[in-house]
Amino acid sequence: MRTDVLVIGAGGAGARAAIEAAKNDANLNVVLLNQGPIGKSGLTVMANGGMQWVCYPGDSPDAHFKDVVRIGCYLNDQNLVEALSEEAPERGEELIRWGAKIIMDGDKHLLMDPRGSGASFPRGHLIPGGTFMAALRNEIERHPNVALFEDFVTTKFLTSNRRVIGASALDIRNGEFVAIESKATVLATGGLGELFLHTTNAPWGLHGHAAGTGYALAYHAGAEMIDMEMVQFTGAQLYPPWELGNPALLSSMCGGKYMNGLGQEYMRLPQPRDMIQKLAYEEIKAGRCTERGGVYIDLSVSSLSREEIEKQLQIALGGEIARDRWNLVKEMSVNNPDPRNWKIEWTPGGAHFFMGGVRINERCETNLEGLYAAGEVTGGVHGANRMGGNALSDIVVFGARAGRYAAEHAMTVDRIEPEAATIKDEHERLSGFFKPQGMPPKAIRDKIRTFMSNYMGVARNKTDLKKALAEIDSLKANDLPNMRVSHSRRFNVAWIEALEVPYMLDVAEMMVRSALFRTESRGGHYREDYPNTKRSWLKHTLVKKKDGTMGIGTAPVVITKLNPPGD
Amino acid sequence: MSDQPILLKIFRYDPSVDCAPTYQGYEVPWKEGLLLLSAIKYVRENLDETLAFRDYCCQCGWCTSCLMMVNGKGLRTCLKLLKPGENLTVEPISGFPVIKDLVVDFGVTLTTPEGVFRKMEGTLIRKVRQ
Repeated sequence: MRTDVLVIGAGGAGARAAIEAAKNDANLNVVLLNQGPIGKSGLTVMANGGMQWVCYPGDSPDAHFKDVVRIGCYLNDQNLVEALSEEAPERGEELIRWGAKIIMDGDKHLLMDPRGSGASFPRGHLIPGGTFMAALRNEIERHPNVALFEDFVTTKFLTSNRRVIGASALDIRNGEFVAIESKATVLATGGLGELFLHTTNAPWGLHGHAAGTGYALAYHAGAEMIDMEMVQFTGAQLYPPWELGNPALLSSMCGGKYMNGLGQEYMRLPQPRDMIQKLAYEEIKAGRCTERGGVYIDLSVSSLSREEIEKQLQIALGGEIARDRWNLVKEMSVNNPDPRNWKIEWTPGGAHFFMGGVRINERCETNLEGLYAAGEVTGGVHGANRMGGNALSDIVVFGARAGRYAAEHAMTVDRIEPEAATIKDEHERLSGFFKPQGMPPKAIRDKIRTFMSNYMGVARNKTDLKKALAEIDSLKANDLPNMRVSHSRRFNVAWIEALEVPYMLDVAEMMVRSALFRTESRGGHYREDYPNTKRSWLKHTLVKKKDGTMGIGTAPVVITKLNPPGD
Repeated sequence: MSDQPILLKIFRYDPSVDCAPTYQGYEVPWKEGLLLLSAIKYVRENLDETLAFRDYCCQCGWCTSCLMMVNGKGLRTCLKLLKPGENLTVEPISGFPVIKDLVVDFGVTLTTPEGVFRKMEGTLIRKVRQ
């Protein structure tokens, strides 16, 4: 099959890229390929945090820029942050024009309390993820030169002399292989929360598709991967059994206090997200934890009334579009209905966002000709720590840029026929997962999550990271060859899980090697054995495949207008 | 008595090998806060990895990806709280072609924007009497 522009992933970044590529020229055809039905899969739909764009009196793109770089611990590529802060208002207003429903406060947009994100002005516009994606879907409707390939998983990039010329994919519905030839390709596959035991990137598997395979696809094609150690963790709720949302968000919205197991207030907002994790981790490590091993948010001390707290909790779940979900919370909490009595227990180490990824420039170009990338799969935008609300701004700002430049590129180049032998090898590799006996992929995936959470979590050190490398070697040598998938080729979720496993191991290895390499602490990367931030480490770690092995080095940070402070 | 397991009778159909669907029974341990979708996930992760279904992606009941027929009624299974000992028949949501087991092709009406081309195919489909 042939297309001009191939977009892989139909979350916010991919959908926005497809729209931009399609509107560039009606003669250009665009394939938007996704692991599930658009709007019913991917993680944009579940985002409820406020999308950051400047609107408040006195605020400016420059202030937004400075917030992002400061919270990113100066590891951001500033050319990307400039694009983010300058274009976010236009992209946000555009979404509303396209039908996204925004939560209002009277006749104004309800803006989130900036203490939750550390922003210097209120600029978090609450667009529930569902209506965010609905708006993009509505706009796709206007472009019949986009074809949707739903329930397709990409398994490999097809390349020719450092140029990406398409991708090999699997049609999940019938188990058939397709090779898609493209002049330009946009990678927008999102993040990697599934590599950890706790993650907000739920659900696991086909519908969340946060197994991080996009990073591995890019790596194997020869792309440069930066800051692969930079994971943003958030809390994972331990109790009550009804899920409420991000603890950082809840406390700032509901006026609760952060308490340890001894009932002492150990922290007050505002705090950057990495500090919220680190401070909770230290309480628990020192034994000041609850019986369930966590810390808790106490809403009984809030100055808000029960009704006001309930309203805030409902907004945190997604506002009006999550009304049914809120009703479920009420149904589940029927024996303890007053939220002021809920001690919301949580533990740090829930993987929330990944700051690292494919290295791009402000045109979303990678080091490989024909390969563009946007959204969470890229690195450099958020530096070492992402400020709340900027993920939504990121996906539409860079989605649009990737689509535009990919389309321009597609109009200037000729297609290259992929080698039949490469495609055949890939098909054989994928068929090779079918075996009568062995270990199910889920067992190996659980092992990966366990060692990643144990050794690559909120706090890292050399000894643990070496253990993680040993686990990776052992899984590759002993478990991977024994992995088996049985049964039909048709909608076989275990097969998809299996083909992701080697990629998950590659991504885990990139992350662990990068974490070992960065001998300092910065943002989401906290080394217990190197607790300080070092001026000499103001650079990206860079992983790249060289002669079939994983090479690691560094790359300079792009600084345009804000100089980092000295030591 | 209070923690009797959930009994699920699940529709199974793989059009590449089966001429007609069958129903298979599974027993899932009950726990506080168990949702029907979580119980179906429990089946796939612990009892039968061949079971195919669509998970949720929105966490708030919006995406309707987890729509299924439960005791003959269309439900979002992510919002269905289970009581101990419940006995449920779970089938693919009516009105859409069945791809496999509980997975349907949501087709033109639910997911695809108007005017857009989309690859699709179909197998079994059941229309419900209005």
